[in-house]
Amino acid sequence: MNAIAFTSADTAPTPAANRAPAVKIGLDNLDFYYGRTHALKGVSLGFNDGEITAIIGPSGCGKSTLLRTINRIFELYPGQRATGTITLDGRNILEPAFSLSELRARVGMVFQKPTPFSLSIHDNVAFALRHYERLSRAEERERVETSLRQAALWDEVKDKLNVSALALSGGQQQRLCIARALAVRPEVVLLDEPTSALDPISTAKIEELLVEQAANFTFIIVTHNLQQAARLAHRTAFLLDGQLVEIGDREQIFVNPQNSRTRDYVTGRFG
Amino acid sequence: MIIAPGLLARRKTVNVIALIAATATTVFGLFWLAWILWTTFSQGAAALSPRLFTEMTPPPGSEGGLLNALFGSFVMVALGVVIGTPIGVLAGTYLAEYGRASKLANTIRFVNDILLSAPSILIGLFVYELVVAQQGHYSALAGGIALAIILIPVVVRTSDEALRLVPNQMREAALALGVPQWKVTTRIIYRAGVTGIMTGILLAVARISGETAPLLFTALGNQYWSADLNAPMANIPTAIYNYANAPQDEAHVLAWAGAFVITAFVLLLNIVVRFFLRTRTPR
Repeated sequence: MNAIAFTSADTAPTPAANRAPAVKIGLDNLDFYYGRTHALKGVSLGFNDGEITAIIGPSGCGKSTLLRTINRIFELYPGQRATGTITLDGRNILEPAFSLSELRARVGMVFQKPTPFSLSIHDNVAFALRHYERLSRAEERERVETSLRQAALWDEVKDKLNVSALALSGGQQQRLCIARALAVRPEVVLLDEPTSALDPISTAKIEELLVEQAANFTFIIVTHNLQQAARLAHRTAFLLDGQLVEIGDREQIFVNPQNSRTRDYVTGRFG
Repeated sequence: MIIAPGLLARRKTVNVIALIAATATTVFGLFWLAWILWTTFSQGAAALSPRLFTEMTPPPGSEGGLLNALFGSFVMVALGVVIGTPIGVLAGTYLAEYGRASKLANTIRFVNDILLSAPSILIGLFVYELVVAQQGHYSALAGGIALAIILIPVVVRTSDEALRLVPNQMREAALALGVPQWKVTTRIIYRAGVTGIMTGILLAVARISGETAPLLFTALGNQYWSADLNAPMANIPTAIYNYANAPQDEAHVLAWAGAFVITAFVLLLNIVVRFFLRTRTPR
């Protein structure tokens, strides 16, 4: 890789050094089915509070599926179901009694393709905000600005907040989607290959903002890009055929993997 | 790669034949349309006069205009749109957003397609039984209802299709914010599909503004001015029908004028739809 890799890596993960990280989201014996297809098999792992955790693995290994269980977005599609437990601060979110609205307010999501709504830039960010909170116009503007700043987009759009979001470039649209997700102040943000459709400069901007914001949120990022995982993540989980092979810090996964399959994957022997 | 010369020549011949056949059938189809338009416009344009828009329909044998019929058509088409559009759009929303691929939704789509091609005279008779026979008299309201029943399946179909064209990722992205589905549908999905929905409504308006059969049995027609929804009302299609059937030349002129006005309106509406599509489609 290039210089970006170095700068990001140098500024990136060193938070949990002096405190024991708390588990924000815990998966316990999670199974997932698309109809009869068994996509996740007994996955158990924890995502730490205030850290970036990357999920890597070859296509079809269940990375995105895993992510989509955490905010129960899979429930949109009949025939998809998850068994086992996923805890958010100790409470099982797979219980039907767990409010979807609460879950999704606390666990935001950013998708692979930018999905701006056909609304103005301001309204895109304010859309969910208005649903959860009663804010004055001034407070709303402030929250929108904060979110856009967090997503490193403010300087580029501050003069055209009323312009349609569809007029932004792909990279800007994706940062807008991140701002939109951050606006409701979630505790966890799920990112499903958020940069795979973007150019290197936009990718660098998004990586930078994730590193900057890492302390304020729990980020879980699915990526095909091993360098990205190495640059960003405090911990990386390697998934293969719907099973968790190994999870560990950068050193463990990328330099000194415990499992031979992890070693084969990160050294490019398959995948 | 070398293609055998015989093969190449053969393909070229087949290609020319296919091209000629396709072009010829297109020309054949368009020829009749052009002829109809030409007759309507040449005969209709000659019949145009300001009196058309200022005077009432005359009794057979005298001169007059089409003011009451134009007004009546406008009122009943508007009535059809007001009654039919909400039902059509909401039903389309059910199919695209809630029912999706369920058996019920697919059954409704199938039945809706049958309704879409139901002969309009049947719909006229149906509303005659349903409204006119019950009330004991013809009325503009019955005409509006009949037009609404013709409009509904068109709007259901186009709304359903317009909403299903909205990418699923947008639904997921909006629902992932924890916003309930009704809000996602009304605030986000409608906005993304508005062009298609509006197009469907305008096309449905074009369709019902020329319908004659359902109005013959419901609104009947009226030689005089009437703005009473509960009474028979004049309208362009039945005026054309009556004047074209009359023996007098003055009546034929009025029939041509009516045909011209309605054709021009439908044509204009189609152009507006295309313009709308071009300007409102993002990217």
